[in-house]
Amino acid sequence: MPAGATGQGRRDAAPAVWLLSAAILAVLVVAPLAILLVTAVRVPEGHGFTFTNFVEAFGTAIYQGPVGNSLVYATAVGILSVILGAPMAWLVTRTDLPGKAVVRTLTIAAFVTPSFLGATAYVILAGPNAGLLNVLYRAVTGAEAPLFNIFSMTGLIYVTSLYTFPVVFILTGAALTATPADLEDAARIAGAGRLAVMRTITLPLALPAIVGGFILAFLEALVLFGAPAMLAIPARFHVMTTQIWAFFHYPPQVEVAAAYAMPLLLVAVGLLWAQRRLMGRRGYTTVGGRAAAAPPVRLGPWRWVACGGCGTVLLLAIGLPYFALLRGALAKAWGLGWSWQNVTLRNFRYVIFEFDPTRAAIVNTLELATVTATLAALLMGAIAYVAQRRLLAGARVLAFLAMAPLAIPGIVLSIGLFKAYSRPPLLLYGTIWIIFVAYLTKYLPIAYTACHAALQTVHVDLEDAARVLGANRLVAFKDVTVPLFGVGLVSAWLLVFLPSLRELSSSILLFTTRSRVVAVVIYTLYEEGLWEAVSALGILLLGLTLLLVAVAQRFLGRRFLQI
Amino acid sequence: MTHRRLWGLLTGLVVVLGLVANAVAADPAVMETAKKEGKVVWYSSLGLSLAQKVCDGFNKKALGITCELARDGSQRIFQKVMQEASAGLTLADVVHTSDISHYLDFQQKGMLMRYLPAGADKFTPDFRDRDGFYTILRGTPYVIGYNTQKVAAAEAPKRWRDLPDARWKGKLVHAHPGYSGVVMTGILGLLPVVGGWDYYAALAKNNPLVVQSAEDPPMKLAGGEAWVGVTGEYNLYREVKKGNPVAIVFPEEGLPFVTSANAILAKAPHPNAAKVFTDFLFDKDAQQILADDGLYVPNAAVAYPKDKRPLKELKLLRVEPEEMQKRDDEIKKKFRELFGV
Repeated sequence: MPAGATGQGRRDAAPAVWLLSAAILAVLVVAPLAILLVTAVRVPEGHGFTFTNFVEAFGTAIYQGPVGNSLVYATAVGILSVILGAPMAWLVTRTDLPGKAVVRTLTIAAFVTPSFLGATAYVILAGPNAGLLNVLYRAVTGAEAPLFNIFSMTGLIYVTSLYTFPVVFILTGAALTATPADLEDAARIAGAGRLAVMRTITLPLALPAIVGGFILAFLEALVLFGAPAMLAIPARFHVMTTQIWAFFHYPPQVEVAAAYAMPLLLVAVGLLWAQRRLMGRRGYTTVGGRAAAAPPVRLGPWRWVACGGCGTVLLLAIGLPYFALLRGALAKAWGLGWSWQNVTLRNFRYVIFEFDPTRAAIVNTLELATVTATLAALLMGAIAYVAQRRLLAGARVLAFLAMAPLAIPGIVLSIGLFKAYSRPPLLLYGTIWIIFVAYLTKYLPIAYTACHAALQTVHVDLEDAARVLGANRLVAFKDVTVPLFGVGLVSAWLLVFLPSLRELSSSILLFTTRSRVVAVVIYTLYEEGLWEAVSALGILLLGLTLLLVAVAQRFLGRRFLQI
Repeated sequence: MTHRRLWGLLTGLVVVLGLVANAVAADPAVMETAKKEGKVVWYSSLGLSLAQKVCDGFNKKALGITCELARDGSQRIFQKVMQEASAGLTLADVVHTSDISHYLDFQQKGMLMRYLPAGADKFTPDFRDRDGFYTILRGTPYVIGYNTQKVAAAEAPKRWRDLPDARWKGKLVHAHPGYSGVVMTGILGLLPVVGGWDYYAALAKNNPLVVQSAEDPPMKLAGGEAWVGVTGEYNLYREVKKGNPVAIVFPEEGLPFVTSANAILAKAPHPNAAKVFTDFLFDKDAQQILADDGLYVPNAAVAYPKDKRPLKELKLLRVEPEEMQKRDDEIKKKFRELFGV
C-alpha cells in the first residue's frame, strides 16, 4: 500500500494540528526573542531606536570584566569536564573496570544534582576559614592558609565541572558504545598496545562526541546563574549572568540588560550549530542502537588506580557534598560543632510546615513541574509525530523551532518574557504563568528530542501492517503506535519534570511572592545566610529527584538516561 | 429651616469626627471588611525567623485574617514593589524595609496610604512617623561583631578605624548595600566619621567576604568562617543569646542608627486587613516579640531584656531620609567600584 495512503484521513486534521502547533511554537519561541532584540535597540523610557544600550553595556569598564570572566569560566569548565568525563566514559564502556554500575549510578546522580546545591555544599566544605576540609587540613598539617578557598574563580570552575562532567560522560559513553569494535580489534591483532589503540583508533572515533560534550559543558557554564551567584559574588567578581541579574536591580536597566545578553545568545547559537555539525542530526540524545560489544580492555594492575580515580571524582561530586548538606540540614546550630546533641529534624519541619515562603514554593514547584512536563510532552509528541511522518510540508520548520530554545539561555529568555508579558492585555507577570511559559519554552528541545527518538523506534510499517490486517487508522494508532510511543512520552515527561524542579536562571528575574519555586527560595535563603533551611530544602529537592530517577530507571529500563 | 441645617451640620460634624477618630483606632467596620478580605500580604525585611514569629503571632489571634509573609532584603523588596508597579500590579499590602529612603520614593510616587497605627501618639520620639504615611517599626544600631573563640576580647577591634588593619585580612565579612537596608544606612552613617570613601577602599583591600543580607555576618561569625564583621546589633544579639561564640562591640566613633519603617500601599489589595495588621504590629504583643530579639521599638510599654543597653546611653549617628534618598545610588555605585560586586 503506498505510504501516502496511510495518512489519508488524517490529512484532514493535520493542517489544523500543524497550524495550531506552529502558532504555539511561534508565540513561545519567536515572540520573546523578537521582543528581546527590539528591547536591546530601544531608547529606554522613550521612543525610537539607538545603539547606546550596547555602548553602555560594553563600553563601561565595570561591565567588561564579567565578559572576560564568563569566557574563562566556561572554557575552563568545558576542559575540566572533558578531563573528568571522557576517560571515565572510556573506562566504563571499554575496559574491565570494577564497580561500573556504581560509577554509572553516581554519575547520573551528579547529572541530576543542581550545581547551586553543589556550590552550597562546598561553602560548607571549603569555606577558607571554617570549611570542614580546610579545618581538617589545618589540623593535620598545621598550616595557616587553607587548602582550598571555594570563593574564587578556581573554586567556581571546580564546583561547576563536578556537575557538568556527566554530560561529557554520557555523550562519550554513548558514542563509544555505538562504535563497532572491529577497528580496535584489527589494531590489536596487528600488534598495537592498549595505549596505542586508544590513541590512534578509539580517541579519533570518540572525538566528535568529546568535542560535542565540551561544547555543551561550555554552554552550561556560560548560562549558569546559581553557582556563580553563590561563589563568585562573595569572591567579589561577576560573570555575565549575574551581571544581567544586577541590571534588574532598582533602578532597572532592562534595555542595557538586553544588549548585554546578545553575545550570550550569539555564542550559544554558534556553538550549538557547530555541535550539530559535529554530531550529525542526532543532537545530544544517545545514539541509537548498540553495536557488538568489544571484549573489554584489560587494565591489569591499573584497575585499582582507575577505580581510585573514578571513586575520587564521585566522592568529590556526590559523597562529600551530600554529606555536607545532610549535616547542615540536621544541625541545630552551626556553631555547636559535631555531637549527637546537635542533631534535629526541626529544620525539615520548618521548611515544610512553618516558613510561609518555603511551603508555598514546594507546592508551586511541584505544580509547575507537572504542568510543564505534561504540556511539553503532549505538544512535542504531536509536533514530533507531524514532523516525522512528514504529514505536511514545512514540518522541518516546526522541528527547527522546537529545538531553537536550546540556544537561548534561560536568563536571556526571561528578559524577553518580562518585556513581552508585563503589560495588559498580556499580563502574565506577577503570576506563576509567566514562569510556566519560561519553563515550557526552555524544555521544548528536550521534550522534542525524546519524542523524536521514541518515534524513530515506531516505524510507520508497523502501523501499515496493522491496517493491512484490517484495523482502521485510529485503532492502528491506538493499539500499535501509542503503546510503543507511550514509553517515549513518559520519558519525555520525566526529562522535563526533573530539571524543572531545580530550574533557577529562568525564574530568578520573573518571580514574585506568589510564584516562588524551590530553587529561588533556596537562593534567597542563601542570601540571608540561613544554612540550616537551605540544606534542608536542598536535601528534599535531591531526595525527590533521585527517587524519581530510580523509579524511572526501574520502569523504563535503560532507555531512560541511557549510558 | 435653620434648625434643620444646624442638625445637618452637627450630624455631619459628628460623622466626620467619628471617621477621624476611627482612622486611628481599630474600628468594627474596618474589622468586618478586613475579615472579608481574609488575608494580608506583608513584604518584610525583618529576619525570616523573627518575621515568621510576628506573622504567626498575628495568625494566633484568630481574627479571621491570615498573615502571608514574603521575606527578602530591603533593596530586593523595593525592586519587587517597583517592578510590580511598573506592570500595573500591587501584590503587597504592607511594606517594611530598613532603607528609609524607600518610603520617600514611595510617597513621592503617591504609592502610600496614610494610616497611623493605634497608639501612635504615645510612641517614643526616636521613632517618628512622617505625616502618617509611614511609621518606624524597629530600630537597631550598626555595630561590629567578632568571634570570641578566634579573637580574644583584648585584641578585638574597638573602633571602626580598626577594621582596615591588616590583621583582619581575609577574616572580615561585610554585607551588601545593594541587598540590605541595614548596611546601606550603616555605610551612609559611617562615611562622615571614618573619613569618607577612602575608609571603604582600605576595607576592600582587606579581602572581605561579601555576603548579601545583614543576617549573614552573624552566621558566618558563629561558624568561624569570619572573625570580624559589621552588621545590625539585633542580628548579632540573637546569636549571642543562642550561645554562639559571638560578641558585640559598640565602636567609640558612634553607631549609625538604622530605622526600619512600615507602611501600607495605597493600592493594597486588602486595605482593611492591612490596617488591622498594622495595628497589631505596633501593639504590645508584636513589639515585645521584636524587643525580646534585641530590637528597639516605638511602643513604650515593652520590657527590654536585662542585657540591652538603653538607647539614650548609646552614641547614635542619625541618618536623615532625604540624605539617604540622595545618596542611595552613589553608595551602590561606589561599593561596586571598590568591592567589585
